[in-house]
Amino acid sequence: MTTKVLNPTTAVDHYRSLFRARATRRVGAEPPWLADLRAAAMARFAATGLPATRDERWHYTSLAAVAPVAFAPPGEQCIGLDTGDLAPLLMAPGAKARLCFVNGRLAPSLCLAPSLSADGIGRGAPSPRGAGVSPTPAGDDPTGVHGRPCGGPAAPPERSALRLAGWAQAIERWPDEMAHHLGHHLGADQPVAELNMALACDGAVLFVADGVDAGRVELLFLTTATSEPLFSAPRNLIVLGAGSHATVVENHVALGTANAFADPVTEIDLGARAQLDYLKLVHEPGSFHTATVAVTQGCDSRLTAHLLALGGRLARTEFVTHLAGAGGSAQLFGLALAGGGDHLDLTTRIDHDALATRSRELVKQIVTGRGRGCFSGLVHVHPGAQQTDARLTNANLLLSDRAEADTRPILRIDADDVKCSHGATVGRLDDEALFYLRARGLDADEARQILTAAFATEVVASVADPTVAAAVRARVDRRLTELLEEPR
Amino acid sequence: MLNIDNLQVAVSGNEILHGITLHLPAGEVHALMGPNGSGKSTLACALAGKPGYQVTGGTATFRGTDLFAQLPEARARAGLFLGFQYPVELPGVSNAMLLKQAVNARRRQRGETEMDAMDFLVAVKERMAFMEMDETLLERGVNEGFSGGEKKRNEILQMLMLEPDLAILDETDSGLDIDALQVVARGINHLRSPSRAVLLITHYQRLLDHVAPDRVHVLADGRIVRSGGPELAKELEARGYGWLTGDVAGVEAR
Repeated sequence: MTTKVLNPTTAVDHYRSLFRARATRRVGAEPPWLADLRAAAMARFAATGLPATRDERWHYTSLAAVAPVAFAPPGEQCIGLDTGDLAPLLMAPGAKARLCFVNGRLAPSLCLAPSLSADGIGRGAPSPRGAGVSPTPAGDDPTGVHGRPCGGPAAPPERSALRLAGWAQAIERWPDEMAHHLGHHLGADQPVAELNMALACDGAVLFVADGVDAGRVELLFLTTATSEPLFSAPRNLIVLGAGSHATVVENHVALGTANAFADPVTEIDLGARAQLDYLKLVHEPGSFHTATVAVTQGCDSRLTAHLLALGGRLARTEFVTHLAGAGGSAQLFGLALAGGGDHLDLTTRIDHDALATRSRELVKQIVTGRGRGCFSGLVHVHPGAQQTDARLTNANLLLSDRAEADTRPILRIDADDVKCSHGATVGRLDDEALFYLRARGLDADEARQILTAAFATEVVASVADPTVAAAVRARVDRRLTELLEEPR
Repeated sequence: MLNIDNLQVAVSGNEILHGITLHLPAGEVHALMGPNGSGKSTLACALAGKPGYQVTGGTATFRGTDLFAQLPEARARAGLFLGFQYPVELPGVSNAMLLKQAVNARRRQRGETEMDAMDFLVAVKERMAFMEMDETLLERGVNEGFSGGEKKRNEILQMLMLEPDLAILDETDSGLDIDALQVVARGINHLRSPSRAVLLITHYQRLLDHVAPDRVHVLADGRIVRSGGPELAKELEARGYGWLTGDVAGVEAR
């Protein structure tokens, strides 16, 4: 285990200088409440620096290689891509709404449906329970923040079913809602999330009105290979009103091997009875990625989250959901495919903090070469969260002698009427199974491929949307083929 | 079809088979019987090429070619089928997919074109009906959550799809109720033809009431101690194996 202690001053000084440069450029362009949020976040980050491995949540992942590099946001960039180039990358092809970011900046020419014109919103007929993107008239009263208490009166109906915009427009158009949500779904002491708040320059903001089915939305974050070390801090916010539905795919992909440090944060708020299918994929070979996803779940809300990591020099996702309303449920599926150059880390936390909440978590890691897959999963049943029903499962498949899988499932239970279980396994391909397939005429490589894909199948097959599931299957199969071709 | 001469097989350095000689011509069904631990499954695994089963002496040819010079998958494609005593469960590998891959691997070997999806489906459904299997098993993981009887039927289904020249069925009858036993026997009888051969490995006589063998061999302590006609199986049913394993002691004493 590497326990190299970071030199906090190097990184802090560097990011503080980026913060100052940003603040100078943006003076007067941002509302004071946001400037205050940023300054406070910068101060908190400066106090801690980048997380060190002595932080329990960062036990497996050291940012020692990130600290000394002067990653910086891109200057003016020429994108040089058109929508045709995106086709092989999309995880939700056919989505009616898509925002695309290149090296952290919104690329309007690659976005779909929401015409990102001056008023920032798409033009389509309002369609409750349809998948339309509807206009919000200027001066829309942003009162769509639903109450947390169960059975309380629903928020006044939104005039627009679905509002999707880039960060800058969202700040400008819906400042009260943005102020209400930004940073509020995150726990304390999250240095990489603080760094994001201090430096975030763009991101996706999605509001779905009560009772609306938003359909599929894809948020695509592309990193292009650059000569300069590239920093990006996308800041996303997804708010689902009471009884609404959405499928959101957050797709982080690098074109080629990029020297980048992405520090995205996604905050998600699910109103009572809201249902979200959320899928986050990261495949950024050669890059650093430290994502934070924080969810607050209202009464009887249902979250299904797929957290897929297909590659990265260091790709870590910290996923936290807070089951704050009675009857809420969260289903988490994780899949990590780590090859020789990859260090993948999934750290999850599920807070059961209300009556009769339910969680299921299944994480699978496949590791080959000198790759490393790390999983830490905490399920915390808070006092009073009676009738909690939680199950946490982690299975790891090692394809080489040098591969490493770490697993740390933890249950912390502070209530007495609960049903909780956890389990973890680490193993290799089963010799009996390999022989069975060979005895049916499949050659050894084919048998290995089939059994390795089968190991991932439980996670892949759990993606509800058939279009997304097919895209995931194709991406996973392609990556598995690469892994199996790597030297063991 | 299958000629085994003085075959010796070791597992983890321990010799289990001490010189087996067995000739199985095309068109015949032979039963290989014997008490637990006599080496019946070891013979099946060695013939199919399971890793860990080391041939330390003797030969085995399948249609005139040296079996042990070929990888297990090559033996399968050439028409050798092993029906497993304990079929493995493969969650995430669909039964239909495995069947299709297996059939096409064999067809490619024979220089035939791959079966198209529609022909495959028709063929497999016809055979599933014959084996009285629920069609939903096709989309399930291979043997995943199957009952003992369903697993054995699935082995015979695979055999019927692959149409092997030589089927070695390792205790396919164990754990079957009488109805399932009849269905499995029907599958085996369906495969019988002048151009094929079957080696039935079994502990009990009861499968042989439904699949009449041409010859019966008794294996004890890694050696064939008696070979005979179908009446030998009846005699074993009546007298057990004790009198034959006694023979072995007698042979070694001489």
